[in-house]
Amino acid sequence: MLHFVLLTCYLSSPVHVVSSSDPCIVTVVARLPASEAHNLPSGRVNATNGQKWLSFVLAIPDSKTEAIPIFGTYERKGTCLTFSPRYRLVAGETYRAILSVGSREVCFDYLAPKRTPAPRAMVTAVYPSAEKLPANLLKFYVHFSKPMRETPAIFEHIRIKNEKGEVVEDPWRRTELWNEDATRLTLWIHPGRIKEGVNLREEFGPVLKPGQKYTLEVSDQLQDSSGNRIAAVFKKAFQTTDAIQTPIALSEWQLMTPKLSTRRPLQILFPYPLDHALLGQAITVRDENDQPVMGHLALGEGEQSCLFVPERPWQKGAYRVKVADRLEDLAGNSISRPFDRNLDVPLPQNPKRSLSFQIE
Amino acid sequence: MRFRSFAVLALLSAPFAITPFANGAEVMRNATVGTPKLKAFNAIRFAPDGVLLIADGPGGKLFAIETGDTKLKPWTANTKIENIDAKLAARIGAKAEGIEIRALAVNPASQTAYFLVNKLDDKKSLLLTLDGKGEIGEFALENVKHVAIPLPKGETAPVSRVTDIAWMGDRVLIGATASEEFASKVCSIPVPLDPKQSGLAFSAETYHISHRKWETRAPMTSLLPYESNGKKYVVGAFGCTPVVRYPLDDVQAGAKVKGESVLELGSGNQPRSMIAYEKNGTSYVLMNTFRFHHKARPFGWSPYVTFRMDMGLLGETEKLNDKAIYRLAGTKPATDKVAIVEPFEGTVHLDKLDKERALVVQERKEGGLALAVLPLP
Repeated sequence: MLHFVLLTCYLSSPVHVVSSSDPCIVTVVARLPASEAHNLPSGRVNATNGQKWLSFVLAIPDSKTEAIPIFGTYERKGTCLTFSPRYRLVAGETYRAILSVGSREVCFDYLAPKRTPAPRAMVTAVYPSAEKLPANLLKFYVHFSKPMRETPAIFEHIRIKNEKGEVVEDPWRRTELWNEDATRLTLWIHPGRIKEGVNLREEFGPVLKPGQKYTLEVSDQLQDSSGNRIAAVFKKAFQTTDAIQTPIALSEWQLMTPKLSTRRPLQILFPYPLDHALLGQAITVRDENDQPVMGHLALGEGEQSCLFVPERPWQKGAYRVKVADRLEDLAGNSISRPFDRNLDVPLPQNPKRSLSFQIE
Repeated sequence: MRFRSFAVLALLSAPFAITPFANGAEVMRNATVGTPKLKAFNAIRFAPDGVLLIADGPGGKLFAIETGDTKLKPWTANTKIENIDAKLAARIGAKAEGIEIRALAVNPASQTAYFLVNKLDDKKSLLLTLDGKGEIGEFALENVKHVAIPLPKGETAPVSRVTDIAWMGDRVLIGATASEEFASKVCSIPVPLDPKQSGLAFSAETYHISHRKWETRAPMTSLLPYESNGKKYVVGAFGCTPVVRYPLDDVQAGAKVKGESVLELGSGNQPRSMIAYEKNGTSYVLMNTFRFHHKARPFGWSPYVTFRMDMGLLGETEKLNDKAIYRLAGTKPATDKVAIVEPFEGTVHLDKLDKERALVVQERKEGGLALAVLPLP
């Protein structure tokens, strides 16, 4: 394509913009007067020299500041001077190529076309999914259908409202924590509003109070990675229970053991919901030789249970469900410690970290 | 007489030292030339000799990159560049609202400012530079001499995001946080930075002044190297807002390093960066914070507030933890050792330019961002 343009360089306007199959990746092609072209070296031309003849700028109507040339590479071949911007142009913006020969300027405007409208991103899930959550809830995981724009502005667009519809003031710990493809945001309620006695809580009160109704509201102002707003406001209504301030106690869990020689699931029931993301990583099933039993773990409704389905039928023997210290409940309490604790107070020694069961 | 006064001041400031940025020591070893493979740019800082440090939390690596940018291009006094965001954005073909300046680091070897910029439309992170002559450039991570050092793995969750990097002279410290666990993790990587040595990870126990409890989980949001009486420390700042000193001598992998809280700046602040400097024989720390309770309790027109602290506070041996100094008593100042610095109001990004000046990116009342060279207060 570019070669064709170079050949036709003499036949058309002295400066124009040629797009590749992606209209945001372009080459600016300019025709220099034969008498002037030899002032530039053949082949790669440095930006300082190239810009004396040809510049490519973002055109901003009514801008009072001087347009600033875009980064890119220059090359001269014969009387053709080309410029390739280093970065993709921004869809929907207009750019101007300016060829300067002596006191004369010739301009060519190029509109980088807007992207074809794609289905808009939406919130696909929010965890914890349960409707009853402890008043010292520590975090939400918000899942999106597409990669989102990573920006601190996100904290302005996700709010908690109380049952009167009043917005709870600035509840978040403002550290953006996205997964690798920016489809999951971990949203921490500020621990300073959770921990008893912290000045933030003393001054502004807790974010959530027990026995109240709240709504988590994700605004449709949120943008996906292309800058398009999400399809709709997302709301999750929930009710708060008393705060949970004790470590996770495996003695309160129940196991429903499957039958011998089947692939029926082992069912594990918790007294209250646990952390969605950590559950999938923290629970393993071990045989009597402490070898992992291969299988699949599925979370139950409201993250209050999980099912372990083995790859092979259960064999007769002793097993145990092993739980890693990383597992936390919705308030950040783990097996070994509560979230809000004074380190001067000793913890219970050797908390239970596994549950045994028998297949017969 | 003048000489005598100086000697007294020098003696007073002797116990506190700002980590030397001396050239000559080997910064990295076993480097290769190529294009570093980064998953994410979380934080940037400079080591001596124009070596740029980039922390990649999701990729679990620290990169040290030789920029070759060692020729001094000094800034003139009182430089102010309005609409710096628009000017940087224009160089990559975007409007001001199409980018985000995520971090600023000044290369002490050249005084060139390095901006970590996100181009929002295609989620691209890049490094733009601005030298003392006002020239905007790009530092491309292509065919550069570099080392990639794996971040040491500790007992806590994998690092999701690095909050800050501190060059300590004999090691690099990295403060990190995780997505799924509220965890404090600090990585210490020995210098010379060598891909064969990943260093060690430890966690920090912090006395949280405001609720008078010890805790291990709050991640440090900003780090500052600090030496006192020949011992090395790192000073960590946390949200809501204790400033804590951690001893680093003899730290072991997996250890819980117990800090000593020296100052409580007050609620509703999230520290962003700290720099240390000396002025008229006294050592200070300058810290800019984001005041997330600005709407309810503003300190000025901007939520970005800058504090100057007397570095002597960091050497405190008696007023520690439950006896630590509070900046405020109610809404009134409780100490003259900490002050809000008005000319720095609106400072979003801050780094030290030289012994007497800072380079800042400031919010403007009328919108947009300005870059300014400001005298250290």
